[in-house]
Amino acid sequence: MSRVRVASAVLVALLMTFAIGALSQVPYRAESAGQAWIRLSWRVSAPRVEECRTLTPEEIAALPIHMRRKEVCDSEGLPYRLRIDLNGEGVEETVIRGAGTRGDRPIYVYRELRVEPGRHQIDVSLTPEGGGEASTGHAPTEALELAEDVDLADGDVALITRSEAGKLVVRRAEP
Amino acid sequence: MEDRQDVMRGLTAKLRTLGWNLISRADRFMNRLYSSRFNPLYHSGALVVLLLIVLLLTGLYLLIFYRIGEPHASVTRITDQAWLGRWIRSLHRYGSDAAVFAVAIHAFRLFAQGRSWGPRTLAWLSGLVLLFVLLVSGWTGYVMVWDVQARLLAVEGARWLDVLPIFSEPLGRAFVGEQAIPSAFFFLNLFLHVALPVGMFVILWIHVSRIARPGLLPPRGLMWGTLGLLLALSVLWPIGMDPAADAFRIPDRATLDVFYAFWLPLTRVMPAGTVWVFGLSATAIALAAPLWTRPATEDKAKPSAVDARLCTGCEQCYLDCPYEAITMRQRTDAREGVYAVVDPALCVSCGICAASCAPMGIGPPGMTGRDQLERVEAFIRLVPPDPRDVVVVGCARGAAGFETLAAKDDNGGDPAVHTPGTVDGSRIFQVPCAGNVHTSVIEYLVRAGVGGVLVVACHPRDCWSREGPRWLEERMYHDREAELKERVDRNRLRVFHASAGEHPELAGALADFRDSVRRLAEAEAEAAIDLELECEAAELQEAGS
Repeated sequence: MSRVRVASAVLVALLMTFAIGALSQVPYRAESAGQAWIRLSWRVSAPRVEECRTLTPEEIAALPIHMRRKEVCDSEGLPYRLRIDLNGEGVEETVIRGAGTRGDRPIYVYRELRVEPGRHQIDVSLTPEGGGEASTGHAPTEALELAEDVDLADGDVALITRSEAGKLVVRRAEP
Repeated sequence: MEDRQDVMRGLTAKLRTLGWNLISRADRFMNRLYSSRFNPLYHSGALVVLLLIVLLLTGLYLLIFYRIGEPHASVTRITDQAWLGRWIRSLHRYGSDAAVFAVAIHAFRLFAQGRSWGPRTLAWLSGLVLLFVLLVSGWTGYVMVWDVQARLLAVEGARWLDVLPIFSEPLGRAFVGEQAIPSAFFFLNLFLHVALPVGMFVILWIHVSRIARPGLLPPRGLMWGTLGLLLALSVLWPIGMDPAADAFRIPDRATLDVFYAFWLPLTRVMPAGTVWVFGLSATAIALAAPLWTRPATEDKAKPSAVDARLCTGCEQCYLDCPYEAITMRQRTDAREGVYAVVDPALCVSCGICAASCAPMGIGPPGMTGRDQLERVEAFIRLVPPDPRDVVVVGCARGAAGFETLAAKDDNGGDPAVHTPGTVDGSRIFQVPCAGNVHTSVIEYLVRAGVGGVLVVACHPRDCWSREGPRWLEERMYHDREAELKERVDRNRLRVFHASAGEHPELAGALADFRDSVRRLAEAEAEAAIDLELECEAAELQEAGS
């Protein structure tokens, strides 16, 4: 093997090794600068709306003996209306139902708003549809509301979530 | 329907040719630098196994110091161990990157060589599973560190899973900072990161289960060279730490490992549903490769068949078969002993068994020893032997193959119709694999008066039939059944290894051998001169004058 060939072999090996090192840690800018995010994330255990009906004797007789009962009930979680306003402008207004195929799982909110850094006024409300009391027959369900001005620096993320007391609060990075 | 199949086959053939040209050039370049023995492209599969062992050993060390309760802090502590932890972690990372690189080369190589269908389907599919498990295992490894890149990967994974109607709440909520991420998440990651590689060794066993004598480790020189380079890289350029993941900061700057997260910049701007469509489509195409890369039925070589009347039960074909497609069974006829039986589902029709059978009782139709003798007789009738020239017995896939020469040689064509092509003026007797050449063919050529026989085989680690060049060498020079008889003059034989892209090397070897053959012919001509007769003739001439 000539010296040139040995040198070339070493050089190629070093280049391949260097390529592995370089491609293993490529600088990556995941998000552009000059933005901030407001995240909304919480869950609410919605009261169940239950509709019951008394079965006729014929219907009861048609059922297998071990499944006979006087009353059948269908239930689902109470729907809620989510409303988000940013700086006085409506961003979203949606009716949210309980998760799951039967709609009986808790309601969750999971949104991400991309805003420019600076001061923003955010108004959020999650209110039970139909006033709650009329449809459930239980005590009225409390609406969740938040109206707050949020100061966001470049790259900041503010999280609107529920506190331990169940109220909506804004959480920021710990200083 | 047939038209569509033809179009598909045409596209596949073009794609393979493109890949094969690329590989041929790369092989030649690397052979010149490192020799065929240490060419890393020939050992891509074995290098993956070596790297998996490195990952296992370095991973054990890292496992001792990793804490699921404080993932980022514990990895930072490991990285701060200047004498051991830092480079072991770096070696773990670079080794895993190199493993993905080697897997990609290995898969591309087999695809371009058309070794992804028929009996090789199991190896292809298990290889894809191995790649998938390797990538998922790498993903869990990155998430374990819980730095900016880890959070990006975790959030992206959660975003994909959230479009599936199986979770009642989005998984992505776990990473928004509403609550501390539970240790169970990191425990699950750690469990998967340990369990998946263990599973990989099981899949690896399946991957090589249909081949005999798998080469699981590269040659020592390549092995220590690879380890040394990765170790040097780890020491000189250790992996640093990105900042810890922070749900309250936008993940603006991170380092990205291209080998494991090459898809991240693409998928982050796509809707999750589109990512699934692309991902599943690519997976389906790769999994279906055994279907769309297989040749048309009429082009497929038939599996080997055994003529039980000729089989002596010597077991040589059973020992030589690189795919364990042959078993020996008790005879049921009047004779005692065993005879060979070929499993068509395992046979790749390489024809190596045909060359291991002295009585020529086995081989794919048209490729048995008897078929080869018929062909070589026709060859000699067509090309009168020249004692000053060389006949090249060439593997179809190597440098003297029609597949590679067809574009250059007007005479190139189907060897089955006995139209010999040429390489630098010497006629080619082509065979599907050098390991398929029955030694009787070589003897026949020499005895017919051919000056020399140059057998051109692929490099031993690049044989499409795995062990062709190895058995050829053994049969010609080391008396392996069916051995070349001692009476054949070895000076008139030469074996040369050249891959498809190595025509210049072949031309050089051919010219060298041709010179040697011509010197032999001259020496023989000189030896044939009867000095007494010559002297008498000279004296008579003198007297007459």
